Amino acid sequence: MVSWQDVVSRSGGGVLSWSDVRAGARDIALVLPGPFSVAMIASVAAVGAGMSTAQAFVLVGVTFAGASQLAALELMREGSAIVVIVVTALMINARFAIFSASLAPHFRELPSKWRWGLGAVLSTPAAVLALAQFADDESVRRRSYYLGAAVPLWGVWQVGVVLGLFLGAQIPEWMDLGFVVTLVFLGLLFPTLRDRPTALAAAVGGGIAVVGAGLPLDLGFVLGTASGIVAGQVLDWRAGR
Amino acid sequence: MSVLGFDPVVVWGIILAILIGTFAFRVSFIVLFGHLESVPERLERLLQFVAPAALAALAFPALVYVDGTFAITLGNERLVAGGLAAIVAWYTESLLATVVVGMAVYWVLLAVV
Repeated sequence: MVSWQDVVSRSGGGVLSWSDVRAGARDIALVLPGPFSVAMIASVAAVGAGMSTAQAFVLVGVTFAGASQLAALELMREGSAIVVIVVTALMINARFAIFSASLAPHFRELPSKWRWGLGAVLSTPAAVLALAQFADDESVRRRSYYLGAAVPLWGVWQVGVVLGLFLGAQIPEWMDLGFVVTLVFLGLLFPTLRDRPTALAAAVGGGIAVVGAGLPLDLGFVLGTASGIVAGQVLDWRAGR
Repeated sequence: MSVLGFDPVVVWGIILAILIGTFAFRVSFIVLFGHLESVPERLERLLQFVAPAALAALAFPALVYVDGTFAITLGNERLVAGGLAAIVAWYTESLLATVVVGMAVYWVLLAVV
């Protein structure tokens, strides 16, 4: 007779170390409310902007990204050019390439079918946890730990999306959820300010965007972001890095 | 049905472009390892400025403009609520706390003023 434990362990191809999977899940558990909130808010925002359920689902759920999608929605609202919207969203998501590069050595010997799956569920918290764990503990089974962290987060994300799609249709206009999006941007902004160059990038970016807010085609945003990046980089160079 | 002034076909185009690009980023090195080594350090450092600059460029105008009017006053509920939310964000680094506190303060100010 086949028990459910047999089914579960066989579905990993018999290659997962379940104690390490559990360790990953335990470590990611504390950060799950954050992504859940972002997924829900982004889905509500997408529906609120007029997207169909299918569009919102693909935008937030399938793409598995929140900050970039909220930014894209905001830029659409501000009347940005299509290329600005797409490029901005991709610049915000470029960090996934960096995490992909950091994790790749650890998964190098795995079959490519596994590696596509590992890449597909990549998220910032899972990557950060996994990299810290791999540096700390030589013996941990890396694929198992990483999946233990990444898959629950991916699952919670999808639940947040579904909830947001449902709620988005119900939320009355007067609740001014546009401000929720602004708060999400602030909440995402502060953890990125790690040193003077990044703080300067934010100050200049925000400042120029405010000054240029009246410009057409949302050029205020474009100039602000570009100026912020340049300002941060210049300060970095002057600090000798 | 237009989305924020954009034709639905265009919206799908934007969604799919972001989807494909983001997926490509995720699988880039994990799948192609051996063909590329790693992201050049210069590029990595430059990318670290994107989030601060872009997020600030999105958030700041929303806080200081009310219906198109520049308003750095205490009567601007978004500015006050946003400022307090920023302090919460700075100290807790919790997204949930930031949004909850910010919205709570915002609604209280809207009701009281």
